[in-house]
Amino acid sequence: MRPLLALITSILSIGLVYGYLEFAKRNRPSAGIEVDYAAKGEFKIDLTVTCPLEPDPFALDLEEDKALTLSFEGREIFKGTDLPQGEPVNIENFGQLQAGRIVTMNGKQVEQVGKNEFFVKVAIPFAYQNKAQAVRIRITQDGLTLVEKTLWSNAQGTAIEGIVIAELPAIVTPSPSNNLHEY
Amino acid sequence: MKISSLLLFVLSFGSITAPLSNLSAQETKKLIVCSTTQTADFARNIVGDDMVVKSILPEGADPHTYEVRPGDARLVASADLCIENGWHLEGKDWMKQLCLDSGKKCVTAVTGIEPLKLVEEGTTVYDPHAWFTPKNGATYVRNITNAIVDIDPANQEKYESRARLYLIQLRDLDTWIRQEVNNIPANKRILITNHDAFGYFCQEYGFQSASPVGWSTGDEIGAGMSNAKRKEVIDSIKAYNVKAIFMETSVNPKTMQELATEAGVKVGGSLYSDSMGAPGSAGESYIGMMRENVIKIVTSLK
Repeated sequence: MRPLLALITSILSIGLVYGYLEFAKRNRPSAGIEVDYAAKGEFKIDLTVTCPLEPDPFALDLEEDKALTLSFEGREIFKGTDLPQGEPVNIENFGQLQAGRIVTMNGKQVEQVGKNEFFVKVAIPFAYQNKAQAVRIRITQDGLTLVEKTLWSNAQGTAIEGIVIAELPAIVTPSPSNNLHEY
Repeated sequence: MKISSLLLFVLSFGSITAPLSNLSAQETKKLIVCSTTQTADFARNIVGDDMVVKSILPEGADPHTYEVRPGDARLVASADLCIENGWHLEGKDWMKQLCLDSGKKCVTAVTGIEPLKLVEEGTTVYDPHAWFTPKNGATYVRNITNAIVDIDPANQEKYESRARLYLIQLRDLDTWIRQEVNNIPANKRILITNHDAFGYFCQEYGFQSASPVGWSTGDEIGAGMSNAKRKEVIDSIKAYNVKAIFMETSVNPKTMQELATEAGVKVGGSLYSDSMGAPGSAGESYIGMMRENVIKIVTSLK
């Protein structure tokens, strides 16, 4: 009788633990991007490359992947091969940027800047790998430059890869209880 | 006392079942069986530890003359995915036949590559040694990635992520080869090897090639050594004042050693050709074998 009872109890315990783990797994928050505080204004990106581009023979998908790709928070927002050399290409409507937020820390209200990360990748054609190439990225908010960065080709000269972060301050609603400036 | 013994039972039960569940996870990993070491290496770089990859061809073996063993048929029969190089690299299409016998689909890795066409005895043959340029290697990677995603679409993101990293390495390898080969004056870029395995490499990086044996070491059309081919090679060595000729790791070195003595030229070492090197050797990976080949070629010919 006792061994049977012990066996039933152990199966029950394992079952409960397994059930809890499954429940926890199913209720885990999704990995999607959640915009808590949508930034206000009209955002645009200007991309300028120093060399003409060609389809990348080392792309994973030759049909889809292009010589230049720009991703925002893991999502491709622009791909292109036919980009004019030295002329800026304008990108609009690429998604919602995240503004900062005010958080309370140790009893004080502090501003946490909204970070919006862009990843750019450019495959440089072989004929242009003999000298350094660059891509310039300018992100504007309502026509004003928010961030401007130039990324240079890697040591082999084969590609340009890098991150550009657009930082946005918190949107603060005027309130008599806080003394932070309105952005 | 009763409670403590109960706890002890539960804990011991858990400690026994936990390793068993790990073991079953390992056993349920999907199996990819590749005909050659190169295709297996590409596949490994894409699946990481998520699947098991095995190559039928051992390191240093010749795919043209390989004779299948009973264990190969069992391995193919148990595979979730079978990959061959294609274009008859596998002599008498042994991988296709193994797949046919087991009722398995065989994915051909060279699909989509622009073939190097060889006209042999009035018949056009596609040179199967397509992996010898990183650009073609990228096509292998794309085809293998698609095949892997087909059998495990749930993990597509992981496989594509690894494939992208590997393609970055192939791109750098290609640029590095061009830089290294640039050390050899253009008119000295003559690559003489045992058999015509380096056609794609030669075309991509500006070499002329010659070999006493044709495109295959087996007995297919245009394959094997002939006195005419041998004489042509010796004449080429003398005419171009070639500094070195090369043996291949997967082919008997005797022919090239004899040829070197006859033509009065040095042997520049053994190149990895139709299969990679043993684990622990510099040629144990595709990138490693390409790197070592280029270093040997450049140091011997410049």
